[in-house]
Amino acid sequence: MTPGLLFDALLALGLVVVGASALFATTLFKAVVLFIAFGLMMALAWVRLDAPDIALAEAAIGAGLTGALMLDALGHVAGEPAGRRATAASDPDDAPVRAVPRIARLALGAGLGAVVGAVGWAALTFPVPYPGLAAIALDAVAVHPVSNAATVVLLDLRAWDTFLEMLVLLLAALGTLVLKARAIHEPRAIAPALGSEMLDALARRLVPLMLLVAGYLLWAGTARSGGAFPAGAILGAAGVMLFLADIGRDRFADTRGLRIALGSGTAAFLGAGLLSLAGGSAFLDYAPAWTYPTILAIEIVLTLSIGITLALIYGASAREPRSPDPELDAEEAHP
Amino acid sequence: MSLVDILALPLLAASALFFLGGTAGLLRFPDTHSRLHALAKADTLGLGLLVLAVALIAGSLSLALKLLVIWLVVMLASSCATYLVARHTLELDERREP
Repeated sequence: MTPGLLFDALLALGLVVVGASALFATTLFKAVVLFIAFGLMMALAWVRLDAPDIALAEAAIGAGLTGALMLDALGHVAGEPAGRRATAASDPDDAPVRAVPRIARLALGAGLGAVVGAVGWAALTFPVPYPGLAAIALDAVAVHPVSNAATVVLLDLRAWDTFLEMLVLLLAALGTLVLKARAIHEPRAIAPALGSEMLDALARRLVPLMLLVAGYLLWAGTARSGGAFPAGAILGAAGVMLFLADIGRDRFADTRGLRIALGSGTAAFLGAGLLSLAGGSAFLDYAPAWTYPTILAIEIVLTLSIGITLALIYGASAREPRSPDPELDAEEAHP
Repeated sequence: MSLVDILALPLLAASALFFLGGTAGLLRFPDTHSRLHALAKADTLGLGLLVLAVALIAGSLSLALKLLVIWLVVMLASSCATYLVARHTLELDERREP
């Protein structure tokens, strides 16, 4: 067994073990932490499968942002009931997993198992070699002005799909805004985190670096791994960092500019599609001379739109941190 | 085996040792503060030695500098996270035993 194969076997085994541990964790906090670990290992698996674009997206969105959202959600639902809640910060580790009836879990498991089984059976019974779209796609990528295959597929060959994905993201953000406007009552919530000068200092150093990385990923996306989705995810993570450190909260207030940013990703695709229609070709079938500039323009708008949308989805429910406790800090400064 | 490999291998082994120690501490130590203490070893020394070894093997200055930046950013973030977790634990302990 070669070292690479041994590593892959351990990784695959680890994925199954961590996934199962997340599903069967005794507390919600453990489940969330294991889910984040699962996302990071999954990113590693994508790297081993030579899919760095998916690895970037998995690490940034699957592990990072989804993890932050889940931890935040935990703070909203896992506290003590409102009546008994003092100002005390309760430990999320104490929150038990909400019981779901066994019959419902069994039915869900059987249903999902049947779907996975059917997909596996279909994959095994495909004729080999399978006359799929891969050859056509690779031929198109070879002559495309944009050299990164993932970007060509996402923003040109499969642009319809990405357009609708942006619409889904927009709907998610709208749903979050509606929930925020309704100010959903939270009977069980953990007190917000304590503010911290250290977190503030960290955010002020990391966020500029994150903006740099996002810009690099956006630019690299035309030729190498990167593009609007990883770049937007890094932007979103920078937004989460700012929310956590409570920097510039008022800039994320629900303003006209923010709403325009939310819709701009979908609008960019619509605009490009209408232009291609006006040019006499199909919707989102760019004219050859305009393919590169159109894709670059969509990438730039998409990055900003995805970043702001993700930050907003997190920020809609983020609460202001409590002011730092001077006693705790004093105790550490003079032990 | 090249000279670079001979230099990098002991670094990798030492790094693995620190990660192993950090993990053992995380699993076996009795309370949050000592667990954080154990983890810090893996974060700083373990990752530092790993980065040094990989930078040697990579054999490119720009790649080595990128790896150095990764190490610095991880140290910055993990020391901050360690501080926040430790302070949260301290707060919980104080509430439980006033």
